[in-house]
Amino acid sequence: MAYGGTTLFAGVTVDIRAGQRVIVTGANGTGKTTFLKILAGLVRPASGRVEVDLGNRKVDDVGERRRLVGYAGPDVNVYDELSAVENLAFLARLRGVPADAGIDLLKKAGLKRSKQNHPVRTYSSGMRQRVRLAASLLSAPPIVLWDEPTAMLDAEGRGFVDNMLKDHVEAGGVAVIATNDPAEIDRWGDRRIHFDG
Amino acid sequence: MTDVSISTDEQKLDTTAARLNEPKTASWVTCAWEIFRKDIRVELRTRYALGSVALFSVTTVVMMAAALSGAPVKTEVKAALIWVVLLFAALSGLARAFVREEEAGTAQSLRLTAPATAVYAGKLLFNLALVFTVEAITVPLFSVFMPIPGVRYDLFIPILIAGGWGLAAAATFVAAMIAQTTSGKSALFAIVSFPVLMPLLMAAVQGTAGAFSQVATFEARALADIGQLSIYGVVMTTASLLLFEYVWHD
Amino acid sequence: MISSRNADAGFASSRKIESDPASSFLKVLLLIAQSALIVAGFLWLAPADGFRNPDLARIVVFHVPCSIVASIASTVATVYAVIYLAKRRPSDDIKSRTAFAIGLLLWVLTTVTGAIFAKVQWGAYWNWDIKEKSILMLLLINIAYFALRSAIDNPNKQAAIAAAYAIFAMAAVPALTYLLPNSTPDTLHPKGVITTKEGLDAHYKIVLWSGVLCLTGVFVWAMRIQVRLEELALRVQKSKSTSRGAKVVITELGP
Repeated sequence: MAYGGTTLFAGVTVDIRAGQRVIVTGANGTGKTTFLKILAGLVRPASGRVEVDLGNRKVDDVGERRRLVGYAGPDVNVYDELSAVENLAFLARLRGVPADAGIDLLKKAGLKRSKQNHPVRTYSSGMRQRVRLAASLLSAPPIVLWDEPTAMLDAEGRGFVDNMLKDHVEAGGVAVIATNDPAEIDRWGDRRIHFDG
Repeated sequence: MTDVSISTDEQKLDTTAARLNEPKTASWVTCAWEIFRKDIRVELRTRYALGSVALFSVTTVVMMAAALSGAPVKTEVKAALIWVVLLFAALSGLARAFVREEEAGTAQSLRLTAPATAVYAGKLLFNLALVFTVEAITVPLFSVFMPIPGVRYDLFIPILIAGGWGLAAAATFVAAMIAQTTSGKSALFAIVSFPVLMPLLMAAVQGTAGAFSQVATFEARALADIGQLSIYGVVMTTASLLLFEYVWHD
Repeated sequence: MISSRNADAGFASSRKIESDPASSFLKVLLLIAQSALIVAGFLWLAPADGFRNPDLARIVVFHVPCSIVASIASTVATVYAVIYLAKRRPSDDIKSRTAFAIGLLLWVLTTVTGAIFAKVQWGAYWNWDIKEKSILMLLLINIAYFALRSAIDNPNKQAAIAAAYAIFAMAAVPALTYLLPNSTPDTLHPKGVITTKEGLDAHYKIVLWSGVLCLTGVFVWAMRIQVRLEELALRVQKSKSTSRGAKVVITELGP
């Protein structure tokens, strides 16, 4: 699989099965983020294919795959001018899921009730990250792709991430997470893909 | 540490999702409408686009009128002036729909959630609202500061509507392109959209001049211009819908 | 256009690049023919009757071929843009942008030769008749195409967005060339002069249409050279970068 001028990996099939968590590690700039974006369908690789097998059918089309993933990363944001509740309600309506799914997730994410209805612009970076993570789980996607999910979170926030991940994986979902935190690698990793620039 | 066995150049994700449903997406129309509503809501809170566009319109019309106050100005010239103001006011505000989203990182979120053409449609609706608002501000101002006697409004208003639609359709598509460039976006927006807008501008000015002229043959020609503006609008909207996917996704 | 420093980088190819005798013959023929036409245009053709400056009016046998081949170039460029969006092969993007570049040059030449003629015949370099407007539009589209390309770093996005703009802009061109002329009849560019019997003198027609043929040959030749150069540069770049691929280690961590 190649992107830009670089070969991300050659001659590899990576099989990720239901209920698995894959940790992607590597120094900055080695391709972790690009890899996740290729999986999400945000970036088109120069070569290589991604296949998704949902059990009852296979998904080859990128457009469909995009809607099957819950992606959270530093360059996917929510609207500053809207509140967390409004942001999630908007995304919920786009996804065709009920609007209160968002409110539940915000509660689990530990976002203070008092701030839920204020514009995201007024949030701290940790709160903003919680909103992003909640947004990525909004439609209960089978595939979760997180890029450095706990980067700006305190211990309580990391607990939330742990719990959400556990729930998701126990339900049969797949998670691919990019991180360099050694504790997380230990705690979460079933399998590990390391990019060695 | 053991290595996983290696075979071919493919990537395969296998999920047997028991409890996890396949997420549905809302209908295309719902997506487009929701994006439009969201843009309106955000705009009403910040007033950036509306403010800059309205301010541009007011200052330009007033300055033009002041500069031309002594001299008699032919009606054809006024017809051209009004469209110049509309064009540049549009250029100052229509790119915002995409540029702000790309710069804030919210565009990526839209790419994952809504179909590409629905995003275009939603943004087009917003830009249409913006264009019609500019027209609603500029035209009355014009009639106050640079009055034109005997305007055939039954010709002029369709020209404004058809021309405004063509302007919004083309400008929205170009905005999506230049929002993904690295720098010099405003200048680039003008350079890239102007050739495409040339036919629109020419038909609109000719038709407007006809509506102002009080001459029967020119007024008749203005009807043809309305037809051309409508065709232009249809062609540009269709071309945008067909090509938008290539501009929006990687 | 493109610098050739990459092509010199000691790059060994299994396929030797040599020109076969047939294409060399054609190239020499083209050179002779084009030179003959230029000479003919100035010396063989009689000064045109009925024009303000009969000697200068000969410029029409250069102006029209330029305009026709420029249209061909723009059409070829747009077709390759469509093919690129469908197949996503970098070579199609190279062909598209090369055709646009040559087209730009030809449109500039068309405009300049037209302006020279217009100044002498009608007293002004630019008259805003409908053909002039469409050529201006095409010129601006070509310029905007390259301005857009230069502002996007990512090569995939650059190619895709440029191709989309090319198709989009070309869709707007007929509005100017076919719709509007119906309401503002063309006055300066007469219809049918270069094709019908009543039009230009037979000698002029020969030189003009041979000029179209020759210039098309030049266009094809220039395309082939430039496309081959860029494809080589692309191959050099690719061979350099795959050597620094990332090494991936996949591990199973224990339960």
